[in-house]
Amino acid sequence: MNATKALFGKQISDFLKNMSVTIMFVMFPVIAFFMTTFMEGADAAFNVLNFTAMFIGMGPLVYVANTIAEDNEHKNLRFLIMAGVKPFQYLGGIISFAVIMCIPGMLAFWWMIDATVAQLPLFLLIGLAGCLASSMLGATVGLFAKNVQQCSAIYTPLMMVMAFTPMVAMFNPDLAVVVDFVFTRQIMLALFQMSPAVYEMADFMAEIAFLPVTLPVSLGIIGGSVLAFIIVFFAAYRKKGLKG
Amino acid sequence: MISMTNIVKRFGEQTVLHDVSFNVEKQEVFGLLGPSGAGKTTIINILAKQIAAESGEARIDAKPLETGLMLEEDGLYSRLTCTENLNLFAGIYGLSKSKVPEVLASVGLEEAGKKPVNKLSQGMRKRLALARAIIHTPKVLFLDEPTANLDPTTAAGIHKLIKDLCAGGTTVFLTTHNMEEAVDLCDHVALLNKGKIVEYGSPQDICTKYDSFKTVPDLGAVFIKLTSKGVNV
Repeated sequence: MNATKALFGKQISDFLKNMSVTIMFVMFPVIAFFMTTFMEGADAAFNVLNFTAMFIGMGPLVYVANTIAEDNEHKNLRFLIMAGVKPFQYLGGIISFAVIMCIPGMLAFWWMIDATVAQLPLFLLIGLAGCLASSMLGATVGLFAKNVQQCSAIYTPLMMVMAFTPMVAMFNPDLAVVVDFVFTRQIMLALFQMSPAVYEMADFMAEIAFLPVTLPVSLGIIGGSVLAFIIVFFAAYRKKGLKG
Repeated sequence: MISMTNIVKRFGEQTVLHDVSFNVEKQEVFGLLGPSGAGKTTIINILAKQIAAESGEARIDAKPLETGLMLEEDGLYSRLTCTENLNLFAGIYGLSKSKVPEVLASVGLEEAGKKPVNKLSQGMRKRLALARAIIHTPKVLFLDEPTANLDPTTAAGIHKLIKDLCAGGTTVFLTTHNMEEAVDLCDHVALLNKGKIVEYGSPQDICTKYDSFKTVPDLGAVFIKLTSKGVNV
């Protein structure tokens, strides 16, 4: 517990000083907010949820992957492990921090789509489940990367898929056959169903999607992705370990 | 306190440690001397359980949390301040944060607590790495070339700290290229060349054996004699 608490404190200090990563958690809600001032109704909600998908697909993934790769490259991890920090305390500290850091952004997105207070718990649950999936993917990338440069080469294509395909599929419904199985796309569709604007866009959503646009389908794919990424992470951990 | 018995270590086809054995008594300063690539860091890594040997036994009479480690790569968080770096390790060891200023002062960094590590000089980084290694008052302290590339004043400060730690009950295991440092600090030294220990004893005894005295014991001359090409080891 000492170690996780100490690492959490260190993550806070480091996060505030690492602008290249911090900005990922701030940029998307801020841009979404400014863009919605020029839109209303369904357009505004779709715009916000596009940014939500980008936020979830990029922020935690990049943060967790970068942190692990940087600690590996600079041998910080080695000293932590020598000091008795268990690999799972280390990873737990980083991943939990990433997920918690997503909460302000998710609250901002919830407010921007005019969802009700009663919908907030489910909105957060779906969003944070996505952040956990993204973090687990980032942790897997971090395990394989020898340094930060290699890390960014690995996470960039993943990040593009997670962050941008939900938006691209809106303009090309043929892509939905594949993209509907990406968890960020389902987050976007699930959260959209909480917006009052959903009634204006129900037909459009049915047209752009391959799978039925229902909450159980979205939750199934999001939950399945979390589980799958946890399994992938453990397989990677067994292969590569975390020794610093 | 520390012992290695018949340690053999290979990296691929290359054998980097051949049947290495030595003992380090409690509260002594033990120096492992050798040219670059002799296997000094590999020995520290085996003792610190970072890597495993092919055969032989490495033993430390201290729990992992009772050891401190300072390596050539300092592993400090460069965006964080000196205090934040030490706060992290104080937290991990379950120590009060009030210990941090005290440890910073012991390495002469009391004025640099709020300075980010990436703004420190190399000497200051080394001292901070040493502060991190001793914050929990370890029973055994591993120092990999603690004064390499440091100015004489900083090096002298680190020497004094090592002597103080030793007087306080810490066993110190250090590697160095600096023969004067070895003579000044070490109770016993082992000379390592190409993965083999070619000499072991107190600096004075070794210099006596090789008749290598100027005005003070000249361990440097013994080192060159034993590690230069053509020496039968």
